[in-house]
Amino acid sequence: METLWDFLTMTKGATYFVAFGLMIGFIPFFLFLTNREK
Amino acid sequence: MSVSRRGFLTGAAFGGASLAAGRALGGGGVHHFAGHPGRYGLLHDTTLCVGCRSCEVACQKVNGMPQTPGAVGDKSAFAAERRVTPDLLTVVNRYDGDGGAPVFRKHQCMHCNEPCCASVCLVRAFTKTPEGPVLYDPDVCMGCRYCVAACPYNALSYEYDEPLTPRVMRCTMCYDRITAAGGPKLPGCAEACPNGAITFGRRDELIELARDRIKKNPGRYINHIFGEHELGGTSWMLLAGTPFSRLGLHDELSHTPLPEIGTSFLSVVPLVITIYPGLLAGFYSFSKRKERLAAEEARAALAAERARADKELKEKLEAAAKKAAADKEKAVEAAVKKATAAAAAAQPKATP
Amino acid sequence: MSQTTVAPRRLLTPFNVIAGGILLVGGYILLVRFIEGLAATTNLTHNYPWGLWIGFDVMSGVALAAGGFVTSAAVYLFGMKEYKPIVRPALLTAFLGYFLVVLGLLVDLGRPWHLPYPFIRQAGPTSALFEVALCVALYLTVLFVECTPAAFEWLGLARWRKLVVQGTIALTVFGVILSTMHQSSLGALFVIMPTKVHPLWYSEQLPVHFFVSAVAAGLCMVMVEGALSHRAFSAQAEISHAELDRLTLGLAKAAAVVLATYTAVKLVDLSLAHKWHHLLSGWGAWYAVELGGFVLLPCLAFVIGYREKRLKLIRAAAAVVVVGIMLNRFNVSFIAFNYQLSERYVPHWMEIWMSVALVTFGVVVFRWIVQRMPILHEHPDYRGSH
Repeated sequence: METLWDFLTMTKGATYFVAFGLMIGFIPFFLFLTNREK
Repeated sequence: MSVSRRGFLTGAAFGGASLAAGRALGGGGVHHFAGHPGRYGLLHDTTLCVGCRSCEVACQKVNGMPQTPGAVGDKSAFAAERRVTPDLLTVVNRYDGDGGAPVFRKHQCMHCNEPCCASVCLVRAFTKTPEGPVLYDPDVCMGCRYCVAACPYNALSYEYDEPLTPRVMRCTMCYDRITAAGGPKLPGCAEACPNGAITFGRRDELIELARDRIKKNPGRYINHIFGEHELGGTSWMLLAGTPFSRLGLHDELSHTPLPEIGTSFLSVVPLVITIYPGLLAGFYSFSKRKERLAAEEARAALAAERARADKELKEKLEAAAKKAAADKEKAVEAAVKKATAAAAAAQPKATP
Repeated sequence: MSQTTVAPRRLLTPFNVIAGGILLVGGYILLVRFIEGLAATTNLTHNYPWGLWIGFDVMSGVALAAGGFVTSAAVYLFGMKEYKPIVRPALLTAFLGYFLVVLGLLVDLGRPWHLPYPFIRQAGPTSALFEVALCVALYLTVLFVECTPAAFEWLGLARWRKLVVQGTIALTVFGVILSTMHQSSLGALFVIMPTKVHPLWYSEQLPVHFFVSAVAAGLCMVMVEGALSHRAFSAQAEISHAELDRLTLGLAKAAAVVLATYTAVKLVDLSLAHKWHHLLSGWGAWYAVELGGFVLLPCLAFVIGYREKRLKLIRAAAAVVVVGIMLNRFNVSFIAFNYQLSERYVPHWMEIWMSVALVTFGVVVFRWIVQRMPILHEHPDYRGSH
């Protein structure tokens, strides 16, 4: 990667996936956590 | 060359307009702050340095510090990399160049164009003077040592053994000498260097000089002036024949001044101050509203229950009253019937 | 139930003897510090200008005192009224915590009497430390005011108490603003040091990391402090063990969510700056110890503890997070700091002792106040009032 733009394309792009994955991952986490309340 | 000439011509012809444009761009956050024009700098040519340490001793001398005896020519100091300390504001270290040949690099405060130490100081004890040196005022200093921690060149030191009046210690670029009446006197180190490895002058002229040296001796130098752009540029600049990463410096350093990176977060602070009151008032109102609704619901339920009970009671009473009335009527009726019957019985055959 | 009169107590209790001993040696260290300087009392060097007194007394102290703003916001702004019994102890802990931060700073600063200089002589608004100093000064004042109702009740100053209580919401809002700002600004201190703090700990988003981890630390500190003070001052405690357990469960749930969020924020940072490869280095292993052992593990423990109502597990996890926050602040301020240098910093015994003495001093003051003022219980005259 020679340009800043290349680097940003890779990192920013990848981070969308990472963040989205983490968001989806939060759902089962929270459901598991609050399972007792039902 | 044509670019700079065009820039010059544009500047001359539309000076006022470009100034206004510059201001507008500054508002947009892309304005470049060029720094004080004509400021001084120093160029250390490591290819000329022989590691005699004359500069170290001269530095101690001009700063009125005790001089390390026998330092000049003593190579034993190079066994381990040294750093600047309160009694040695500049140090020369030895590094391995190509083929193991020694390369000597002098280190001291770099006098950054956009000094990190100044930007992190919460009492503004540091000033970037128009002449180039970064100066420090111990009278306001709190002794928090944030500047020592933040300096990317590890060029600051602190008087830990002073119990009450410790100072941050660093090269002053011999401010008093270079601003002396009757023309600048060379900084102590530059004056003492026997090999011409240290050149003092106007920073932009030094850059020209360095470029010239690189151009004329392509085999001798790497095509890079350390400090021209590193972290916004420095007053002390270096030339070398060995990559700077092997001389204890960072290679490929960003050209963005650290204060720009370091203060970016501070612009969020006013946002927190302005957004939070409304946001938190919102949360507060939500919770109050929830509370109020719950209370209202309870009250409504209570009222409904009471109304139901009232109605039931009323109905019961009514029924009872009705029943009572009916009973009464019945009783009256019965009594009347009885009386009528009795009367009928008491009047036998009397009437024909 | 009135605590205005204190029964005469024996002076030579084990607690007093141990605390007195620690403080006495602390006093001696203080003397050495101001007679011979930091060189005689610390292992600080020119490369490590910040050691334990910054990493623990200031960085960790402020983070662990976050329980004050978290609980008061929960109760007064978010309407979680059931947590009201823990607000006063949390606010007192926070006030003492910040007070200790300032005391610790006075020992560490080269010229401590210059402490008010940013406000009275020359301000350096470009410094993250200026922001921290301003917020800590203001927040210490806010916390002091927030703690005064208990003192006014103790002293029987009903009108003064009413005056302060009327401003509860405004004080809480101001406290949350100031806390958000300086908790994150402590992280912002290091944003200017990308060449010094190891990439795994350095981030331009460090302010956010510090803020989120401080919320977790505050919650866990409230759990730890609640359990300890409930045991130590059971005579004063109004709420039953069962009720404290119920509140602790709620806090554990919140802590689980905050720790999960913190993990996510840290992972996002690894991705944004493309630092994954650092995980395979030795520093990466150390990072994994911190994030795995002191964030993810207690997070899991909170989840299990909350689901299965295992309070011992929850309290152990809270203690682990308290240690973890210190480890994180140590990492940023001196362990993963100067990662490119071979020189390492190990605190001098006097630095450790001084920090312990500060905490001891805080515990002594906390104890003195709790045994006199209505902190762990409601004053009978003001029962049920705001």
